[in-house]
Amino acid sequence: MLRLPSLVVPVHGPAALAAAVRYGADNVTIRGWPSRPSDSSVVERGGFLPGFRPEDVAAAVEFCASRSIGVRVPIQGALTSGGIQAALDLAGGFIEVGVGTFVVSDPGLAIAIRHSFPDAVLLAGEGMMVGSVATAHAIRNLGFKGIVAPSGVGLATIADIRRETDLGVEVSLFGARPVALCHICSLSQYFMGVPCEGPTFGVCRGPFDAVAISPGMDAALAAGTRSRWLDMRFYSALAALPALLQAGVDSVTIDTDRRSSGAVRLLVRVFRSALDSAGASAFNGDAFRLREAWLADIRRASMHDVVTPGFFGDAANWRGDEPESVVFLAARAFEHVITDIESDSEDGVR
Amino acid sequence: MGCAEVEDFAQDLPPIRLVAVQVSGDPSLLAGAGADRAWVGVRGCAELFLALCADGTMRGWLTAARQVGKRVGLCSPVIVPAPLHDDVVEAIKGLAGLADRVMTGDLGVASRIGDRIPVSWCGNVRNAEHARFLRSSGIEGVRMITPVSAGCRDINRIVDLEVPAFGRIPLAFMPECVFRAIDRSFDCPGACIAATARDAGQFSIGAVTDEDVSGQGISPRSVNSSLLDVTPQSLLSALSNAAPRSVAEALSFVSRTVRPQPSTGLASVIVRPCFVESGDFLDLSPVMKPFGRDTCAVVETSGLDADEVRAAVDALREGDLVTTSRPLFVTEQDELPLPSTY
Repeated sequence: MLRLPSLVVPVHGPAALAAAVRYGADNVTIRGWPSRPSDSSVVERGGFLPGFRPEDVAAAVEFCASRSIGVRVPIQGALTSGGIQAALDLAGGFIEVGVGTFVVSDPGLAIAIRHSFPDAVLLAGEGMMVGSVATAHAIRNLGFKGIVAPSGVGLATIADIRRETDLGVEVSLFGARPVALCHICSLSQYFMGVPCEGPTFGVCRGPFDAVAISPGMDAALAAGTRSRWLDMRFYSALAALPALLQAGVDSVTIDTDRRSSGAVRLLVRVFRSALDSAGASAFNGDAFRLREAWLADIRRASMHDVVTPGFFGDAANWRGDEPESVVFLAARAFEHVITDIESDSEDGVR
Repeated sequence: MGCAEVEDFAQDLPPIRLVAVQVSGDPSLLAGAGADRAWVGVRGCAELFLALCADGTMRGWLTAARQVGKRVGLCSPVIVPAPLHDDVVEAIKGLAGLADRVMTGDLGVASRIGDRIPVSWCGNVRNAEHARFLRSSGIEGVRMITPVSAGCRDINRIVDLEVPAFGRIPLAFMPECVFRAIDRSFDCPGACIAATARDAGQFSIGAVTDEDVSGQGISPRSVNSSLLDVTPQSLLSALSNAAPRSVAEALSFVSRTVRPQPSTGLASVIVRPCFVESGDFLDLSPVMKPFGRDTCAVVETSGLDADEVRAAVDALREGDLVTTSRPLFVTEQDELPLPSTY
């Protein structure tokens, strides 16, 4: 029986949370809480947007519970032993206010949470790189209940993982992500003693000298002897929805982390509508069609809410002169993917 | 006790620190490096790994690596796409007799080969619990991706621990690798394959078929090095003209096209790490102490010649500073201050 995946929306503050809930999120991922000054590796700094204050979290969880919205908290990254203890304290605090699900990318932390909080539900983050059934079995043995699939995992593998393990699978449908992180991201904890201050990806501001080995990097380096970022691709996998439904995906997520409430509103509305439409199409045996209005809203959300300039490069360059560059970049990069998926889905869903 | 006696006595002591070298491509170019361990193989592209296994290149590398290190490790792709999982596992098993250890970043691969050969896992391990989990999964060693010293002394009691200590830093997969992983039909340009020839100026580039590849623009990166790289960009250009249809075909193209002059040594096809790598060099030789004495130091050899590798191995083993003229990483935070607001 075909099930409609739940829509998971990362929110970075109360305003974004309200927008996500109002426009159709099934679950929210709460991010952006203040970090612990003594061990900032435990959680990220929260960028430069207004985030959740400690006193906001309990109210946010209660707000979600009153509307049957699931809440989860990510504790990402590999943690030192001291970091794990701090993360456990943090998890305990969240559990006290009603959060029961954590997205974890460190097996050591997963073991510690299972030991301290046996009832907590653990999801393996992308950092766990669960890309095969064999790896999924290993992750399951750690006590994880689900995985967030890395972007390279194919639909067939997702279906296999769903079939051969009882792990839930979550897939990212929309976002912009770098294909490389700079040395500041990689080594900041050693060289600087503090995590990168950058919002989302430190790759955006780190002066960088790389060996250019791809056409994209040639272009980046041609602009100067040093490149501030390596490469960034923007993607939207709306067209893959029918195939994802068929693969049995349990949930889909969109990259709204550190986006303004306006961007969250637009994006959640689009993906809620698309998800419902895909479900209806599958139920009725109709072909799933992309709507121009969805693409227009994605474009708007991408163009006018660039709250982290580094996220899309120099925001000023993206506005005005090349108003659709980001979307076109996405289209170029993923055109072949989407085309393939569209043809697959037309054959498969009906 | 006189100086000579002290030296005699010292020769009986175990080395201060184990040192491994991570070889990109043909290890015979680094013969005599004197490392304790030599890692060869492909950490990036699973297709390239399989192609090299199939044509016997990997077997040759593993044999040649005995001249580089006392023990030899086979690097397999850090991430293995599910459709290639079985092929990669079988390829590793086929080479298990030639290696003392296999490295993978894929827990699934590790679980399937652990009964045949000791396995090292490539990834970040920052705490003892994670190390214990890996150990319980049959993994004996860990290659840290980033050299964070915190926790190392706890971790290296549980698993054999290696940290990058000197050399270019592999930063991330190339964009092409990511797209290839997402979509198997993505046209891979094979940019990770480059060519290396011994001795400056003693190699030639030429087409061996009717393909219109002039080789123009292919130039040495550094004429002062005895280990001469054909620049990846220029090779990429030549590859674009040749339009290989697969990684194996690209590899074959380079093998046929980049040739040594008859009077010189052999040219070799070198396989880049399939990573975007830093231009600057990491040098942790002054600060290895926090990593603990039992942590193995790794020299990434990409871009280094044999003498540089040997010097780095010796220095790290003895706890000395690596003497190098290479550009080193320094923090550049002050160069571009963080904006106060957005």
